[in-house]
Amino acid sequence: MLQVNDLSVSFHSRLGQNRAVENVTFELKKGQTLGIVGESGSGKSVTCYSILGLIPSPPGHIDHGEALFEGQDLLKLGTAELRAIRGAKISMIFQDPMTSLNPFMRIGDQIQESIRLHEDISREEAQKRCVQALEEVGITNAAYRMKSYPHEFSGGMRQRVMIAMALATQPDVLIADEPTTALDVTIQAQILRLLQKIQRERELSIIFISHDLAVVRDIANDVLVMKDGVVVERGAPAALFESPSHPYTKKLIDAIPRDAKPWAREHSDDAPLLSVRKLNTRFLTRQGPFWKRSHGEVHAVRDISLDIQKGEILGLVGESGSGKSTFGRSVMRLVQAQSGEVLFEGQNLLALEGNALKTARRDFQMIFQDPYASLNPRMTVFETLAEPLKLHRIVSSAEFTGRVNALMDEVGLPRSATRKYPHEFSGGQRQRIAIARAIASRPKLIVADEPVSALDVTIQAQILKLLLELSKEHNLTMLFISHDMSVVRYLCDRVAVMQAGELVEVGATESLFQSPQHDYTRSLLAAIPKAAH
Amino acid sequence: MLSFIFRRTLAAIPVLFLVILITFILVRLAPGGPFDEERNVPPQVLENLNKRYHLDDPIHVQFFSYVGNLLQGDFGPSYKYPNRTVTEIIASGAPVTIELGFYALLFAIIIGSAAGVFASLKPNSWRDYTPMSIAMIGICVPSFVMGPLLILCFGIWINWLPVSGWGQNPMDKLLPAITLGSTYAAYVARLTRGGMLEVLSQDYIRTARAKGLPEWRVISLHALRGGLTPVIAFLGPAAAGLLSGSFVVESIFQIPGIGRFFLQAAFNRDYTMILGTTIFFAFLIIIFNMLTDIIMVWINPKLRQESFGK
Amino acid sequence: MTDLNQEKGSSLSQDAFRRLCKNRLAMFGLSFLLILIVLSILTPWIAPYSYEAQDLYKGATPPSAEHWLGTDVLGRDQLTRILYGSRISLMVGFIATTVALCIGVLYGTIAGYLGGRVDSIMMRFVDILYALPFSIFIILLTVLFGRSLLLLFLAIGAVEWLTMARIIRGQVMNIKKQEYVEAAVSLGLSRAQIIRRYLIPNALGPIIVYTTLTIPSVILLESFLSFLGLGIQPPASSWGSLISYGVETMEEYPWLLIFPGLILSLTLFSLNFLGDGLRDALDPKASKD
Repeated sequence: MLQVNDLSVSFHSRLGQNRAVENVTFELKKGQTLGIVGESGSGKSVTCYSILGLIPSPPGHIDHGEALFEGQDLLKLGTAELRAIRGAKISMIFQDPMTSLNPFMRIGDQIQESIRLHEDISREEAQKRCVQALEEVGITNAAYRMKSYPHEFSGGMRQRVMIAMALATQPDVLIADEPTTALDVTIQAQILRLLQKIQRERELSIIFISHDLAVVRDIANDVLVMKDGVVVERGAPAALFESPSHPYTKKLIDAIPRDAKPWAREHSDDAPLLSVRKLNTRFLTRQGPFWKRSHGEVHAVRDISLDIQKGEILGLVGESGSGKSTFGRSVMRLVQAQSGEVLFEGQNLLALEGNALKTARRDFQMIFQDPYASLNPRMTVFETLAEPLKLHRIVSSAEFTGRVNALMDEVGLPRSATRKYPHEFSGGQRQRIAIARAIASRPKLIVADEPVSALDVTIQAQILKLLLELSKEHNLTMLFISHDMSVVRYLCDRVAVMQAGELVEVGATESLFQSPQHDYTRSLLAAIPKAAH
Repeated sequence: MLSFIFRRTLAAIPVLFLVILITFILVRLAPGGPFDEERNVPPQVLENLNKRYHLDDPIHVQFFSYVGNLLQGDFGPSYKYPNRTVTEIIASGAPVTIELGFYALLFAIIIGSAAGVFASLKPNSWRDYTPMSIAMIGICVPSFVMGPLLILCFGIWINWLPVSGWGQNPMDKLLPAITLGSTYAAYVARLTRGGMLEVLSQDYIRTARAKGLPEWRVISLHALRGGLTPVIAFLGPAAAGLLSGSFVVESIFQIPGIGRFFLQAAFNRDYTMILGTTIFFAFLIIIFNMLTDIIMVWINPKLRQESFGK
Repeated sequence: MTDLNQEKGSSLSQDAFRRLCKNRLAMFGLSFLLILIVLSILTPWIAPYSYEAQDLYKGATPPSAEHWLGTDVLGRDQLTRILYGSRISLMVGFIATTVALCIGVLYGTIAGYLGGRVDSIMMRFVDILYALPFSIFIILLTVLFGRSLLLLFLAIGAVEWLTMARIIRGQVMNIKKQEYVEAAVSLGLSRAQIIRRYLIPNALGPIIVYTTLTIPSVILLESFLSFLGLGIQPPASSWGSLISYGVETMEEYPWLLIFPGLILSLTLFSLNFLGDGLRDALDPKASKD
């Protein structure tokens, strides 16, 4: 169907030339799915964009190669000829359906624009086709929904609209660039099933670009693994998983957390370190411009009671909007809870104010999701790490250097880097700094809010390992908030599941994974790609 | 839709009232009355004058009777031209000023947005730098330098265009409109470029290209709408700037607009005239801000639904 | 990739300064401004002629070796008058901007940091003021209460602080949302510490940029008023009033218009180039990669 030979693409900047894709060759067969897997910067997206002439040029430049489709080389076509193929024969869908649809246009108009661009049909005919396309992707009441704007749909529905738009022109090839990454896990599973169904019905060929090897294994017939612009390994997914030959592939596969926690915690019957009682957090929302404010209320955390034993890692899982993050921030006193108690070693944190609260903060610290945003860009690593030491008078100022160096050792960063600023580090390194800051005051409890979800998979595995080691070494108690069931299984002793602000199930990790009690937990577990089982 | 406009109009009324109040108080606080300069006025005559213009009433009575008259479109008599009312003077000058402002705005929007779009298509190339350098000149050469220079060049050294008057010659509106509009054309160009660059980096532009749309349709159908949003938001402030800029341009080109009356009134301490023109200008600016708000909401489907309902 | 063996890191502001130094237009602007500022300060000592010295026999003469920028109708040296004008124009520019900066920073920081209801009320107030036709009020004020420099500072400062407050509030709101501020709260830092160590250093860049871009608009406003005869009172003169004299006689003596206009425009260019250069240099997007 589509044959790419020896494709090389580079980007030119003032700093020099940067090969983004090097000698990539692959073949896409009719009705099959080719998965391209790699981390950020591996060149997986650039490969597909350059086939369709979608890379910005300059700075992008196709150095050599060919892309044969229906007997012609796409790379040699003029812009007009390429445009006739783009969107008609080869369509694309993208990662973020919110930003990928034009917010100013009704979705029906966007879909019809695509159809009428490539086919000479009447407005009525196009409308009919648009309704069909929307129905095919499972949007009910399509004739009415056509008149809606993108913001009126949920994330999953928007991605369905994207798919409908891409497929309305009856293309032979669909290039899907991380189509499920921005979606919740249960929605991701639905979208993947939808793609598979359409593929069967239409004999569609799909190029599926993803950072997630587990997802690709579920959906692809053939997999390319890319690293730094080069294809390091290719093959059928099952074989690739069984016996990866390239060390990088092996590393990627190993990075998928699919095991239970490596060691079990000894059970203790002591009083819990943290005991949350009937916690409620509500937000007032104001919407609309000032002359028409609608005041609403979001009840983000509803009546949640939860205990964490000393030395335990409790996973708190849920999808976006489930209130798991708000729960963590309420415990941390970063947002104000309306009612309930947070008993920390018997002391109600919600009742503390002023100096008492400041003193207590020494014992509970937080790790945030985005390592690019969680470090003050104007402070060196040393200043960042010394701040809690100074504030809580942990050690005398003479010992700061020694203590900071020790922290750097613990999180696996070189001591020589303490005079540098956050922007000089990579994402994984920054997250290590953030972890070092959190453990600097030797807290008893750490709340970690999605600490690995912004990181590439191999980095994610390293950070998880670090957290696990630190928790063992310091007998840390941790509330680990995550949307990723596999990560939670790897790290946590017990798991609590939240849905729409409520706690639906709590249990020991393995028993919850083996026999989930609540329907919602079951659907979360069912959404985990098979490879991670 | 109608109810939204109605609400927005209601919100403008207190602002207008505030303007009237502040202006009224300022004018009354100012040292010196309107008849002070006429030295030899006997006290009896002065008292009669004050009585005639109700200046001897308590200030709040004066204020409310003034507002009451305003509501009927009566701005009161002019102190300096006793045989003309302020309403008449405004009515004679306003169409000229508004026409001048309209041409200037038209010039600013058309030239500015075209230059901005042009510059945004190839950022950091000569096609970007050339229009943006010209825009910089527009910003840094103010109208009271630009106007005289244009007169010198096109009116005096090479005698192409008329340099004063209004309406006697079809070409005599050209230089004033360009003088007044040049700064705003420059701002519009910069805003357009910024807005377009922002929009062109959005994912939905990539989607539009992936659909196979030709570039001009990507720009005109998908990018322009978002790219011009900052320009529309700028229209309110631009209108205010154009009105005060018209003072200068009207005096340079000797155009019988309301700005010249305002300046004359200011130098003559013609209080009713100052009050009237200020309020009239404020009224125009408030209307323009309101229109800008309504358009901003109108072009954004999300805001539109929140504000208008479906 | 980062080289971890390197001992000393480079901070964002050092990076920004390096970028600024590479920007030729911004450097031109900076040098021009520095020269102009030094000349204006030294004017009473270095001016070639006295400010008032008239030479009615001579009248207006074009630029010559004796009078570099020519003389006006009263035979006064144009260069001297422009230099004295610079003192006033620059002073109004800097002082009025400082007034606006102080009010705007204080107001914007308080509104942005406190947030919630206080913020809505404070910003609503700004919205209302925004709707007022301030340029007309300034003219009104100068007309009604005489043309004093002090009034000019206050009036211009009172207009410009509105935008300043809005921008700073936006910055503060934005920084407050950042996770590093949450991290600081959870470390137990006090409000004052967070404002000093987290908010101010991170908001400083945009404040500097906007201040640089406010000065030209203030200078412009002052010249505009002086041009209309509403700003500086004779015999003192600023660029605006010099231009206004120049316009009256531009047909016969164009240099009386061109030179003050040129110096005003060059100053505005310089400040705008510097402001744009600073913005590019401080842009966090550029410093990320």
